[in-house]
Amino acid sequence: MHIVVGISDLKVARDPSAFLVAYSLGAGMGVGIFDPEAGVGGLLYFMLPDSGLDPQRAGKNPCMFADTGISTLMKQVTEAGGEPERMRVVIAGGAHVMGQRGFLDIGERNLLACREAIASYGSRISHEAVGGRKNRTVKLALEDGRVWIKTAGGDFEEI
Amino acid sequence: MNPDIIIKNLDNLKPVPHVLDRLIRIAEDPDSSMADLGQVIEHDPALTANILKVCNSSFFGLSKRVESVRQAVNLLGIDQVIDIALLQLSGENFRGEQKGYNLQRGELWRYSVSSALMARLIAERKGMEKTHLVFTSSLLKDIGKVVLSVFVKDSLDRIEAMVSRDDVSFLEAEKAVLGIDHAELGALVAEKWRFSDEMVEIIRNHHPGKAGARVTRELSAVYLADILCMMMGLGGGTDGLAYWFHREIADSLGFSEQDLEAIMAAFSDEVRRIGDLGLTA
Repeated sequence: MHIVVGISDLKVARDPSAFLVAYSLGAGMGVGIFDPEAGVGGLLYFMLPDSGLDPQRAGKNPCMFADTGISTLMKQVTEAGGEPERMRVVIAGGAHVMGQRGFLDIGERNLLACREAIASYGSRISHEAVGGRKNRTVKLALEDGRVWIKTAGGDFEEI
Repeated sequence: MNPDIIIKNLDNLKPVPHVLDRLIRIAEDPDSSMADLGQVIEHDPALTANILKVCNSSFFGLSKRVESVRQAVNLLGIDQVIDIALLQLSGENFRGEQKGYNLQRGELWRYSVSSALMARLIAERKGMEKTHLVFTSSLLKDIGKVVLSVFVKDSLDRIEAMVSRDDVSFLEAEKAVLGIDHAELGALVAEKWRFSDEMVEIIRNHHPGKAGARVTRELSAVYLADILCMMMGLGGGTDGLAYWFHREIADSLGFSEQDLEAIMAAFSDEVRRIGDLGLTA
């Protein structure tokens, strides 16, 4: 079963038959985490780097932002029996349009915010598929934490 | 490649109903009345039926069933009803799969609708009067892709090599390899369909940067909406985000970085509901 994670959303599950998928990430990012001992995993698809932009909106939907999204993801996975130190973390997305020269470079700022938030939980990122100008799709198997990434125009590749 | 071969393929497009242009002219004319609008729409039973279907979709969440165009205008406002009509009239050619751009059936249309809704949001925030022009131009800006797709597919390796090797946008690579790009081709379609000069120019210059492009406020809204939708991952085709960013266009409308992020945040909530519109294209 494929459980689709839409933009500004997250899904956490411990169903070994399920796959979590976030389609067509642009500047937004997918954060997939899996704790092999607890058999629990989650996938977040956030859009913007910092909830300080609109705390009220972040209160309603924390998954829109890197900081509040990652803390919600970690909280839900921990409540489901996962331990941050054991988690395998994969991040994907953070693409850019051309010639932004630091203005509205949400892809880059998302990446920095994402790394910082994950490090604050003592978790380690095991794979990054980030930057560039192409959309990516990320898929996480909850059976064993395997991850596949598809770059637009290509096929799914296991990492 | 000789672009004339590509341009010949414009004849394969299904003509857009004449009523589309009439509708935009009525919408933009301050002297026109609800009666003028009603006459145009109600003259077309299929259009009326489709408008009512969208009005009754869960996107709007109306508590009572809409039975007539007049009632729809009372409940949703005239601008909303005109945009629904424009949506219904524009979708015909976007139904298929666009293999060259690696877009599945319906994906280009969904992208077009998303960017048109965002362009309208931007136009409204900036108090622009010609919101229907912005909406429709945004909806139809990628019509050139429908024709160019098959040629892009045949030359994709060369186009992609160029985009990845040099600092070249997908549009510039289309032009270099095929002799014409999807924006120029789209402008030819718009001319053939006798759209207003303003709409032709917006479609032609929706990826500005070429010498001589006049960046009007309406074009700026269409352009920024396109870029923000790309960043939000709403397109997802082979061309992806390989287009130029023009900060001066954001500046010209007085948008800060934070303003644009706030628009993305607001739209991120709206975009999840687009499927509720029940669009058939």
